[in-house]
Amino acid sequence: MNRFHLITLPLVALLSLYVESVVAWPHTLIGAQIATLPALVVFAALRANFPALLAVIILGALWRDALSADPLGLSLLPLTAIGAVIHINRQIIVGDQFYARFMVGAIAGAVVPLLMLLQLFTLGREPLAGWFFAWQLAVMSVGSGLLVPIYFRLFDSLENAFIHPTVAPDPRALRRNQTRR
Amino acid sequence: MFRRQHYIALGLIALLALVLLNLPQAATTRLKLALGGFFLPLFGLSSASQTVGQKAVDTGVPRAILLQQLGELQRTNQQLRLQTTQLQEAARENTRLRQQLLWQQRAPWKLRLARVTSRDPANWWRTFQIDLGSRNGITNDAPVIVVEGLVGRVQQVGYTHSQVALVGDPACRIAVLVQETREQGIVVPGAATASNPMMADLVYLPANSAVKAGQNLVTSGLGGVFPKGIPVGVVSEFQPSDGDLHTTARVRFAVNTGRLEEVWVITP
Repeated sequence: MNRFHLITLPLVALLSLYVESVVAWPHTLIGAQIATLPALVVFAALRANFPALLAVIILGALWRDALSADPLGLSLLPLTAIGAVIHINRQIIVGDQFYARFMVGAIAGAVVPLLMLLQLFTLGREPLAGWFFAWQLAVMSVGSGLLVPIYFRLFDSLENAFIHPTVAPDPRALRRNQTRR
Repeated sequence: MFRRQHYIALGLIALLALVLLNLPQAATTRLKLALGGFFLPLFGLSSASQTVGQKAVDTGVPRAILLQQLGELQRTNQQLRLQTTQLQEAARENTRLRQQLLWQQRAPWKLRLARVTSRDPANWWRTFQIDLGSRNGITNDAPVIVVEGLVGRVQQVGYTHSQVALVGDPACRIAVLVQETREQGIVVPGAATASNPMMADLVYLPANSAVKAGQNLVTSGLGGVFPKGIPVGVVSEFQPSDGDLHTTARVRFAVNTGRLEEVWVITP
């Protein structure tokens, strides 16, 4: 399972970012593009182990910044912050409930862009962030909240397809073997 | 539970972020282009599937429609050829007059067709990537246009791909000329740009400007990035100033950059 997440999470991050950069209709239709990475980091923080979480954060953040006009490394700190906080508290988050997954995803979807904007202003950049950004933030937050359960479904299917469950040995057969010896 | 190694790993990530954010521009560009290389197989796959899809659609078009389109294209072609003949004469006259006045000759544009491969995932920038790079002769600041008008300028050049800052992006300020009044100003992102990418502000107009809504804007050629005469948009709103040194007008761009699939890049 550990290696499975270590391989699949960065691959899904790459594909998600590709889809995000190619599919333009959300921006044309609702004025905002939904960020896929915060939701994936939430999933990784709730389900995967720490190395897999770090892999998806580092690779995902660098790939995302490579496709964007943002400075390289901008999304590293916000994604690390949100990923670490959720990973530390994952015992107290009811991660198997739809509502909990949605809420954590929605919070991450709002916090990550806000932290990124804060960094951009600190770096002296002038991003297009007026009052309309409140609407974009709401769209990103809801979109991210909805993406977390989708990622859970996707990874459940992938795990079912690629990981064989370990079957516990039959106790009667074990006893029979012991008596024969 | 979090162990000591976990905290060390988080510290290392923070350090990595700080190093990356403080790298020189040239190194950042090279790193970005290297990382963007991971997406090249996906872009290639998407391009190939689009071509296959287009071919499949083309084979299904009825002959009658194709003949009708052919007739229309032939008529348009004849009209354009007549216009070209007329313009060639005007161009010859222009060259002759320029020679007599000892003015510098205007170099004809060298255009390269590029396909839009991806758009900026961030909501606060207006950029996209095209499938031409330094191997195709693309350079930094090369103007990007379509038939309707200006699209933007090349912001970063990679070997196979380039990033284009679109009109309305903070990195793409355009020196313009109001065609009717010959007044000059600069088009910059305005308050409305974030909600409507087609809108921007025309700033530094003279206080007594005679600009009116509906007048056309073209590039002025000042600044050296965009050649003179490329359509930029129209003035959509203008409020005369009360006592200020400069006035501002609202501008609607000629090109809807959100729907573009192919663009032309002016190469040196």
